Amino acid sequence: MIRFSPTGKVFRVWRRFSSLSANTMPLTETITNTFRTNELDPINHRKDHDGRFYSISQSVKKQLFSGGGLPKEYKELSETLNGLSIMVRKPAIELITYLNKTNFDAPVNRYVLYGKTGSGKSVSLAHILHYGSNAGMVLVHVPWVPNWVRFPKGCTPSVIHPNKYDHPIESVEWLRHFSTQNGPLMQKLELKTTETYAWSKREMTAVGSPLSELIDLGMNRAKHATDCVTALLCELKKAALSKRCRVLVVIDGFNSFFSPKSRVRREDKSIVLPTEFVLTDAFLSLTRNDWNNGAIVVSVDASAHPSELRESPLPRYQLGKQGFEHLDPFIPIEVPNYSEKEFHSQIDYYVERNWLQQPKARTERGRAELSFTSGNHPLSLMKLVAPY
Amino acid sequence: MAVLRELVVFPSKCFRGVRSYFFSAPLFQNGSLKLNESVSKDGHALDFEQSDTKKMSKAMKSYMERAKIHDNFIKQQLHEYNIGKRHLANMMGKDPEFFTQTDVDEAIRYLFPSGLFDPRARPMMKHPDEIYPKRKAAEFDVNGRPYHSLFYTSKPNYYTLMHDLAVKFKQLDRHEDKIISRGIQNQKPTELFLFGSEWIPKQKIENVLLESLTDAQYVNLIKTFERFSQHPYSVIEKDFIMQFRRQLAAQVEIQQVPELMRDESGRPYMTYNARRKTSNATVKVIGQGTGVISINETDIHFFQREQDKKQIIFPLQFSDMLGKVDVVATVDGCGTSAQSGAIRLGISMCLRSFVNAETIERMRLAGLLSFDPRTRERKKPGQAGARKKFTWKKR
Repeated sequence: MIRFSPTGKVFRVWRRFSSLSANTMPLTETITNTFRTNELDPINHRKDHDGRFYSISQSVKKQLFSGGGLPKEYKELSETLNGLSIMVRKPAIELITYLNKTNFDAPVNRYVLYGKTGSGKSVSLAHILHYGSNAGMVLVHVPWVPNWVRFPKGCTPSVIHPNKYDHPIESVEWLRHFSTQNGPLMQKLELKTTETYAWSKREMTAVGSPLSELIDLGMNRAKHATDCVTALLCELKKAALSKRCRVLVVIDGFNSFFSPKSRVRREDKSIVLPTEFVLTDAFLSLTRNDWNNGAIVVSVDASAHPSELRESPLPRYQLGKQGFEHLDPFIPIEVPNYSEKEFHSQIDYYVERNWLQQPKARTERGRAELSFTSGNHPLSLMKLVAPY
Repeated sequence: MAVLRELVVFPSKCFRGVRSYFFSAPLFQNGSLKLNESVSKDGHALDFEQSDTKKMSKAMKSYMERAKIHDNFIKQQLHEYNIGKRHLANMMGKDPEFFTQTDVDEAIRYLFPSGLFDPRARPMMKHPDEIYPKRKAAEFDVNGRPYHSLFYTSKPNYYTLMHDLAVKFKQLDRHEDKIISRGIQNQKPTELFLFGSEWIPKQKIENVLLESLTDAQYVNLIKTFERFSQHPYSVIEKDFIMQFRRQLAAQVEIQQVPELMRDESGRPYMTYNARRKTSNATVKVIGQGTGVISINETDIHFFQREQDKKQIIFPLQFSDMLGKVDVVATVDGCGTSAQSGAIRLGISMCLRSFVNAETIERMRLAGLLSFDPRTRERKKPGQAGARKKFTWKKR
């Protein structure tokens, strides 16, 4: 079936999938529609891939995102629609261009993705994560910082750092996530510690022991997990500095580190600020531009802050004075609503996956109504198109 | 002024709903409808037994007395009204000879200003006929013999009317026969053209006939009239029929659709201020657009609920202008429902200038161009809310 696109003179050829049987991946078939692209390596994504979907294989998805990184509804939808396909959009293309051209001898660049809630920042970060993985960079990925600030599973006062708080359970989870993401790469790199770490009178990690040992210790001993994380980040920084590896730091919801409150309370019921977490110190240290051979990509989102601080999506407002001074200078990259081309591409994808089943929704008028009612906002469109 | 105060009727003093066959000014004396004879016959006494006559005389006497009192009362009221009119004209510095009822109304409004909402509750000074309900003229003579042949039907006027219709129908038939027999070709039969008017309602017929009718009787009457006016030569009896029809309000004139204006860049646009409940919206629809919408400087997500977004999209979808025009709206007041309704009306009114007449008519039929007059109903004393009552306790 050939039809004219509403935007111009582009012809579209619909693929008919007779059934969406399990594990039918469009990868294996020749893709002839214009809303998909064959280029599956993010390193090669350029401007002409804008508005097109590329598929991520199950194994890659498992490796990169099993500890988090994709928004919950997005992930569920991808499972329903039989395969994770991410739309290549301008913010990600811009970032990839920068990362490809980076002079890794210069201090690390910091990129801040900002935009309205639900405009596609997390998915762009996921795209960058895939890029980093393919580019052989060590991934330091925090899926969603507010999970540590708003829903900590139990904060304990730190032993080593006075007046600071540990996240034993979250640190273990994060170390597991790190090792899943970087497992093969870490084996290949064989990084070693540069310091001795004494955990207690009897336990210590000597100089020159593999980093995987450090990670394993953290995973097994929740009590020391947070300090393991700190140590790991420190080591990675040093490793990058001494050119032993290249590090990509990806943090979603970075502004939560500077949130005015958290759900952690001391015995006297006073609130513990996020800046009093050990994990915050660790990641803030890593996101300083006092090292090279790496890149730092963070996102700031209004939903990462309590409702009092959601007036504006812009970085200066979301980061606050402290956060801004920490990250300054950074490169802000806006994640806007869908452009017309991206919108139609998204609808084409939904139609092809049989997610948009109403025949009226597939017409020009239907598309116009969807565009208007969702305001071309990615999250709104996803919710609008959902069955309930 | 003291004199006037007695003449001006404050509605609490009005006679209302007095139902009796007492005497009043006669009706329809000049028209073709003759309901009853007004002149009371000088009845020659019938040969009744003395006791009966005496009995009837007593009843008749009191009847006549009451009738007389009422008659005098009305005469007195009329006299006072006329005098009062002259006084009023004097007060207002106008010529008493040419002082009309409208002048009287104006003067009363000036001298007795009232803040009451219902016009019928405000002070008025009108001709006694308009204030005091009409009553039937004498229905039977001194001896109790009714004047009207159909008196014992208890609704003589109604049945007279029905009989008249039947008679007239026969007359029209005879006229038609004559025309046919003479073979007059050029005289075309003409039905009465009844467009633009409707039969007067039951209440009005009752006022005219001075008799109460059941619904069935009214329906019967109207059916008879319908049948009568469908006769090919009913135009002959046009005056008679038109007495029982009232003109409908003139068709709403087609509102002038304002012309499109042009802004600096040459794009056509139209603005409208729309209201709904207590919210006001200023809407500007700009042509040669791509479907951009701005509400209070934010996008469509100013409204979070889907129903509000649907209200906004409805006029654009309906007139096929979605994606062809841009909308800039500012709105305040009330709640989201009212705000979205106001914006919807604003968009519809602006779109009139962009679309053809057929679409405007379709929009009007769809209700897009109508102002929604519904407002919050007031809470009444003795109730919990506008309609909700307090808990009813049996004891």
